[in-house]
Amino acid sequence: MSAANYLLKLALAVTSVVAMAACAPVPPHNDYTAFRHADPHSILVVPVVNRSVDVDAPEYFLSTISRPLAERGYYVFPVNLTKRVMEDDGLGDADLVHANDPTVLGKMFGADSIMYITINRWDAKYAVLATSVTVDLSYALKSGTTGETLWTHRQTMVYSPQAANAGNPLATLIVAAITAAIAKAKPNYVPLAQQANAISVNQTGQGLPAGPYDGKYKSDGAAF
Amino acid sequence: MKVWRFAVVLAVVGMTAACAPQTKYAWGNYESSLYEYYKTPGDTTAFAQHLADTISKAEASGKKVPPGIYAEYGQVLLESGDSKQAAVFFEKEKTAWPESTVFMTTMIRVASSTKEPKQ
Repeated sequence: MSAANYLLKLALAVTSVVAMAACAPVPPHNDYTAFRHADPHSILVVPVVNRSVDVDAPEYFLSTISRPLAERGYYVFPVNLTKRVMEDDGLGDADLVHANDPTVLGKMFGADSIMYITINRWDAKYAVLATSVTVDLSYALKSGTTGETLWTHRQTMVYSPQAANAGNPLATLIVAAITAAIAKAKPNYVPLAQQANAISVNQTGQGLPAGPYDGKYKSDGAAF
Repeated sequence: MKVWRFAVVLAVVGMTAACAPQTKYAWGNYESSLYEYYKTPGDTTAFAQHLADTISKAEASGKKVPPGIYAEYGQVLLESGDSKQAAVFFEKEKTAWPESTVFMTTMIRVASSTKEPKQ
């Protein structure tokens, strides 16, 4: 390997590191006035609206959302129990639930806030040279007491083996998980959904401020 | 050359580690077992076993059991007809997480009014 070649590789690695750094501050800063005022301690994740072509997407997605929210410092209601109870009460239809008054759910569950998530895309495009997997999610957090919208975010993650193979070990790991799944005909969307959630929840100036169970609770005003 | 490459890998790992601090809770295999449960609906036994494992490992680790896990376990117990034990776990959720009080009070009432086991 020539020195120039090596330098090029190093530069590529550094670039991809910078590109991957999810904690890098992002210029636009959300307005957190309503959020800070509501000061939610708990989050109820209701059935997910599915606009994708994959009927299984909402359930699979549900397995990825509790952890990032809880690790951010919030009490997250048990997603599977919530789903069952809502189905039993005739609230299994996600579109209807999303259209309904958040304060009704807030009262029913004793929840400070309700998280409404829509799956816009959850699909794979197969081609000989450019197979790509896309997960596109919209999040909206509403107050369980006033119904006011406290936070919204949209996150799209696209994975394509050709683009991601730039020598970044972390990307390679995710790639490996997804490629293995593509090989079995049905891609594993979960790693992409997990990434989307992590970025959405944690990104400085865009994500959720630290919740009551986090050490930075109410002291991260500069970042959020 | 190899040393350099190793250094780059270390730097990348270091940076990502800086973004992802230690987890607050011992999640065990909650996420993957819920995924499997949705993939193979009806396999409540496996899901119940995984939840029980997650809880006992978390309790032994000294880290907190994540929010919702006691209640998820309570739900599968209720579904399998063990309403008495279900109420115990709903109670545990309520004690561990005061935010769940309203919901868990409802679930405890549901569990205690479910006298006869299903099947």
